[in-house]
Amino acid sequence: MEENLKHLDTEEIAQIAEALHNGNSQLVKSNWLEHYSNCSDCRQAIFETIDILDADDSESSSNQISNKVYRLSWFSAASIILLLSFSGWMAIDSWKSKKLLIEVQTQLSKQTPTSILTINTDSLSEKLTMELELKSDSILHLQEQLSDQRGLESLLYADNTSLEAQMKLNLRASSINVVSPLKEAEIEYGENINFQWSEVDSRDFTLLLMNNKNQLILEKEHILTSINLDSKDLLPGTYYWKLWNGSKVLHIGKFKLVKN
Amino acid sequence: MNGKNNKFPDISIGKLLVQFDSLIRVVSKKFAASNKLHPFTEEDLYQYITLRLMENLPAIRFNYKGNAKVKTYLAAVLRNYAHEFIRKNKLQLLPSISLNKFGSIPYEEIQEATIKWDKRAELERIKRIMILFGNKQGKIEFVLKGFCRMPLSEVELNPFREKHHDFEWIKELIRKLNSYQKPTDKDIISLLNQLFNHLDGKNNGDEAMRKWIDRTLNEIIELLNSSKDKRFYNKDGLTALLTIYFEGKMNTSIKNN
Repeated sequence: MEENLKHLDTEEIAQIAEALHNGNSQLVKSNWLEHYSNCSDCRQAIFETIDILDADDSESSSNQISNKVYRLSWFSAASIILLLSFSGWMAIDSWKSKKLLIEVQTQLSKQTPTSILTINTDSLSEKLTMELELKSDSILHLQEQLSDQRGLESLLYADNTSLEAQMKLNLRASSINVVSPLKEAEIEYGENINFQWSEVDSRDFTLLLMNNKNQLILEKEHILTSINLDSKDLLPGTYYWKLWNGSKVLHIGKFKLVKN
Repeated sequence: MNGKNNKFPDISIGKLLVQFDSLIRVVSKKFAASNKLHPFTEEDLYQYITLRLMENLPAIRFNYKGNAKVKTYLAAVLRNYAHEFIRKNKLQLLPSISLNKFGSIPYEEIQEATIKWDKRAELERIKRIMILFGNKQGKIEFVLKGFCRMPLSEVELNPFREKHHDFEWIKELIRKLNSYQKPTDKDIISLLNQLFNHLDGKNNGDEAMRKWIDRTLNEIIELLNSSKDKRFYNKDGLTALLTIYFEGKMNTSIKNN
């Protein structure tokens, strides 16, 4: 009984959490069971550890899926490029062959020995293959650079689904007349971002600026009807902003900061 | 558990931090969300956990016996650091339903939580919580089932049955409980108290039973709300969830029979 008065240690908590997380409750020792049946602190520790394991699992599985999608898209892009370059090479090759044939025919008509002609054909084909390989490599490299840039852009400019949903809900109930930035406004990077709205009953607003990951970037308190921000302090991307009057959110807006 | 086969990775602190960075993120995210921390404080929490891990690595390594997986062990350790941070900064742990930065829950947050409510995941969580009550699971489930106005059966009391128990009387008590049309909490608590006084050989008052039920419900609510996703369970929400849980259990037992 005395042993049961002592809390479970961290590794015991981990062992129980692991067993319950994997659905192997029979692996839980009876003295542990007796302890946590009567100890709410240890129950909480076990439950929270299981929760962390769950969250980590779902996080890593979503990462794995996105990695797979990323790899698959790379693979398909590379295959398409190779296929295109191959068919291009085939077309050029057939064109060159035709040219060669005409050359052969012309030379034959001039009664040139055939051995010289064969050597000429091979060397030309080899040269052609090498050139094409070099070209397809540079195309692949360019494609890689382009895809990297697009990947980054799509990350920065992607919409945040939960904020979009909140925005839709808020728009219906919005009691404030926003002058700028208007919804979906595109602001050039480097320009000032002017947040402005018409005067309403509330005179003291808090402006909350979030990026598209719903991370709070900026919080400005005690604003009346407008405020200017320098966009150079921000990264290009999609941003959401909220107007808070101390008791409720009066407006949720969205704008894009674009850099050409 | 795993036959002491697990070994703590013999790598530098830098590599270890990289390897378990996602776990540290998960822990800070979970505790920041369940305590409604400001995003800046979430970052502080992340840094605090990382720092404590760096400081304490030799001790963590030394105390690890290899019985659980390294990741699970570290999850439990990092959880302790997160609690330490919350305690040190005097942040309120496990908030009440109305707690947030501005003193109330914004409508859209509740809306968001409602949209995200996943029945299967919630049932899995409540099932886990019930298992965590260990030896008391049977009694707690029986009492809560009664409290949720679900029909009870004397068969569920078989694990507590002993020779000296007057089972005819118990049957009659349960029949009376089931026959109530619109029972109040007081009616149910009184009958359940009589029942468990008889089974446990005790002589507690109804008030003790009421307090015990309240404490249990609060603990379950706190556990349910301590998640990385926003949850706002209160007594009514929990009763609704428990009703679905018990219905599911009853359906399974009917199918099995």
